[in-house]
Amino acid sequence: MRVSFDLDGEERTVETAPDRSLRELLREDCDALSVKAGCDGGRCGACTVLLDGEAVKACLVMAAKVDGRSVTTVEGVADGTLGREVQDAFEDHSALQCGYCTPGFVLSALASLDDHPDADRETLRSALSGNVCRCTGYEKILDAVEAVAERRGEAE
Amino acid sequence: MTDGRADATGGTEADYYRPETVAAACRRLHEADGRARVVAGGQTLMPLVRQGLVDADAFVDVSAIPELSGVAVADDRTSIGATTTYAELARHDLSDRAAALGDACSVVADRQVRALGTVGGAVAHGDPTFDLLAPLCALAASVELADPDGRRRVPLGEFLVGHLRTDRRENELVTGVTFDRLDPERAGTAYERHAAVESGRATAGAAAVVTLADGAVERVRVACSAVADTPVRAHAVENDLVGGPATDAAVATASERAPEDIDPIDDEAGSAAYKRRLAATLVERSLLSAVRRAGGSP
Repeated sequence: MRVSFDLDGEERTVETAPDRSLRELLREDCDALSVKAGCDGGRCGACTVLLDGEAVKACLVMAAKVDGRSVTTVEGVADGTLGREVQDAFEDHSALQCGYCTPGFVLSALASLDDHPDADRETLRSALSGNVCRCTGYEKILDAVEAVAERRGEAE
Repeated sequence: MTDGRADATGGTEADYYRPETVAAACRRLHEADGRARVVAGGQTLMPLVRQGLVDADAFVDVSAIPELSGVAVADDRTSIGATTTYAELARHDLSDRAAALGDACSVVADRQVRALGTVGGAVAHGDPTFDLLAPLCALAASVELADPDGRRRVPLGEFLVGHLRTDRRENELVTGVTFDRLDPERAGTAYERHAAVESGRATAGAAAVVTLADGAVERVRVACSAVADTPVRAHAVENDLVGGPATDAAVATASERAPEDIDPIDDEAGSAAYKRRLAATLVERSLLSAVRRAGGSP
């Protein structure tokens, strides 16, 4: 079947089997290599993307479902946006080591902060529980995201 | 490839349909003669697809059927459409009627899965570790189904016939769940669970629905998850409590009887003995929370 969708602001049309995963579609057909392949079973969150603005695991989305919708990867996060602020905070707080999980974490954090701009650490910890990092021990990731939430909270 | 799939790039030649009415979806299921799989959020189906465990000629995606989406609260009943997601249900203002559903929807898997996973998917898959089933069981919910010839309604306890086995026929579609309204002045509900990691499956869980009258337990239903082939009612606990005082002590005594109605197994989540102990603790916590929400003292 043919699916057409918006990928980071660009219209894409791809021929695909319906029951491939969105993760395969993005990496193999669209060269969206920031969408990482991890467990391929919904556990690690490395393939997290925004589907119509909501964080989802691309390995758990049937490719057919993306037709007519909008996908945002970390490549589509523009300067001057909340997503860029989250990325900068990861850098400032040394919230990454190998970096493989980072795109997924940034997008999960972005979706969560969209819902709760001034979320506390416990809320953020829960919101990020679908993403696994094998390097950092999570504290620096939470430091980074919490710093964004605190700035947002003060700005309101 | 090591996953046994024929096509190394993934995917099969199955047909994909996205009907916009229940009737059209049922027709597709009927035509496929048992060779179609229903797709809602895909959060349970896709891991099976990825492991090569799904052998289907067609996928019937029901997410574009408006009738199946959302929560309808009437004077006497609450109905939840099959494609309502965990996230939508968690956000819905059911707090004066069925807070246990919000408790469960807030702990299912993780944020990403809750954004897409659906009520109908949880019910149709029939996995007793799924958090939503015990609260629905304690609410005495019924499952609503449609097929090309009509509709029927089955109590959840009868619909869930075993581990991953339900009463759904191959040409039937789960359209939603429905349960009687509770008295918001006197009733409280809660769900408590334990999992080894936050986004993991429940090791055990317990849901309680309590209605109070003058400080006494007028009606109570308790259901446990992950400790039998299906969610199970803790009848011994219920019988111990009903008609008596809704006190901490009475709840603690009754909760000790939780193991009488459950049948846990030893697995990687824990031993059967541990789960029996855990179930009693979770039953107690869920009852205390439900009594408090009902306006009682604990």
